Amino acid sequence: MLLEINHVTKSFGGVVATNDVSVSVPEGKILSIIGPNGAGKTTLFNLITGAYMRTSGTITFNGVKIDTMKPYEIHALGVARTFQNIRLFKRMTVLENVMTGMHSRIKARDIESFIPGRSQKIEAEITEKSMEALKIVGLDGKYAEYGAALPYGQQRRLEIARALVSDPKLLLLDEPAAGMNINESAELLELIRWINAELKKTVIFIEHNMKVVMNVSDYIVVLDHGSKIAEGIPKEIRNNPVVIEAYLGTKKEGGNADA
Amino acid sequence: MDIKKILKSHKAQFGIVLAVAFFLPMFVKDASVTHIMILVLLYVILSMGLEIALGITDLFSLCHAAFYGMGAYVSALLSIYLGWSFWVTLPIATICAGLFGFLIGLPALRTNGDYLAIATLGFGEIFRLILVNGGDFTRGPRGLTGIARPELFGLDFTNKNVYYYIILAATVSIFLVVYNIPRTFFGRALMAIRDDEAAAAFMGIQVSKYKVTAFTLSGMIAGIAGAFYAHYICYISPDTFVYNDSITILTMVLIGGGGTVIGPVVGAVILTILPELLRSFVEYRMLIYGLVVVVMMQIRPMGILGHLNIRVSYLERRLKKNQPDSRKGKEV
Repeated sequence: MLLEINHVTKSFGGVVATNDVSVSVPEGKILSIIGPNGAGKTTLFNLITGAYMRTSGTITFNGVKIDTMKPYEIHALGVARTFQNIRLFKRMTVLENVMTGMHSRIKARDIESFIPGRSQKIEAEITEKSMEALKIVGLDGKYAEYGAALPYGQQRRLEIARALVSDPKLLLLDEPAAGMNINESAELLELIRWINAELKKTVIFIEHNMKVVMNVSDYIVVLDHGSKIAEGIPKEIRNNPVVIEAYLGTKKEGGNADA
Repeated sequence: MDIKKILKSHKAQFGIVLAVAFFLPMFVKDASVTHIMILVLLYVILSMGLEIALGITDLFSLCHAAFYGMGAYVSALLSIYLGWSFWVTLPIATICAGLFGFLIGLPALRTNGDYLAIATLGFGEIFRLILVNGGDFTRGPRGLTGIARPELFGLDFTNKNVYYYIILAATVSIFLVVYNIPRTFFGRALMAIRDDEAAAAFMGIQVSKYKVTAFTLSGMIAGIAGAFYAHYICYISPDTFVYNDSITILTMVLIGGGGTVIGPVVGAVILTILPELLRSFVEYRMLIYGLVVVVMMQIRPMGILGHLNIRVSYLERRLKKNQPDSRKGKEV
């Protein structure tokens, strides 16, 4: 198992955001987390990446216990993420945004960036790797623009490039297709598949678009009110009555069956 | 080659400015003008220091004058009591001001924005009070007199022109160091913290370490300016390193355009020369400052040069060096 979440609970005062959730993620798979708004999906991401400290339980990544580590330490182990509300570095160019994502892969010490010849050598390497990541998401032609000036769909892609450039073992995507039109989300689907198949990245993503979820995931975890209510392969989830009730809504008599 | 193209390159612009700065003293006969030129350089160094904390990392520091004073006092005290040469006291003053910056950087980890401004304002005031109440050691509000001018290879440093060239050399070196920071992974870590602290942490950046480093570097550079100032004027008192001066330096960075490195230089030049031109309106100086800031925030909120996309050209150059056909390769 690449990532193992073991009976993790997180409470904010009296509110239990994540309640005794256990998830195992095998290497090389695409796992999706679904659930209604406020189900604790993003909280789970924040627990994995170290933004929150769990109240109880353990999280193990690649054999290392990460549940008390800081975000930058977890990133260095190979967990990279994107955000639900796009969080680009606004006053930096597209290329610089991606270059920043490589930070924990730089072996050099900070002082070396003040040594003339040495600095150029390090930077050349960073630039090359970052351009490769931009090519993957198809944004290499826009490297000189400001991240905030890009159209919405491209900003999401840029976030993925920024996460990919650190060559993570595990990629966490928080609603990557949110706000995208049908074409864009189909392209994104391809991209996620390609990243999983060609780059051999394990991917966990949160998504509301059922078409994307069912098409792309190897395994689905369903959360509701902070608890895990179901997990399984797409086919099982589609027909699970508990999931249908919690997430897709109960089918009312005489109601629109397509809704 | 097109002359317009040449003028557009940063290297050419830098060369022109440097040439003007180099040859100007040769045409200036008036010692008071040379004095203003030295002050301009000192403020350029100070604004470079604040640029690292405020412009690049967005740490709102209101105690920059205290770092400046730390450098000046350390250098002056060592020179007066121990008789050490300026070339020994300068690095020590730099290190001490850096340490001071480090100490102030620690609370900066817990506060942000306005709160950090208030906290640093407090530190600046504490520093002034320590100087005023320092008894015989700092000679209180009377200040320190009889600070020796530097000596080197028998050059006559009482000559203002010679002193000007030494400070010019220091200013240019510091400018080049600071100018390069946003072009390195170290600088990108600082800028990432400026733009989105939480996201920066998720990208593997150890936020606390970089914030403290930014404050330390900021303090060190201000310390250099302080040492040069003390050995230039040969007299320092706590009045020089007060809140007002912090605000002046802050205004230079903001008006010039924080985060661009070139902007604060422009701001420092304008805001040092302007008050001299407005000598006859000296009572209205702060009023004019306030007006300028308000007007600036309305018409150019990012500062005079804040809109400059200064880092694009270097990215282009770097890519050309790396892979000549990077523009063509647009697949996926």
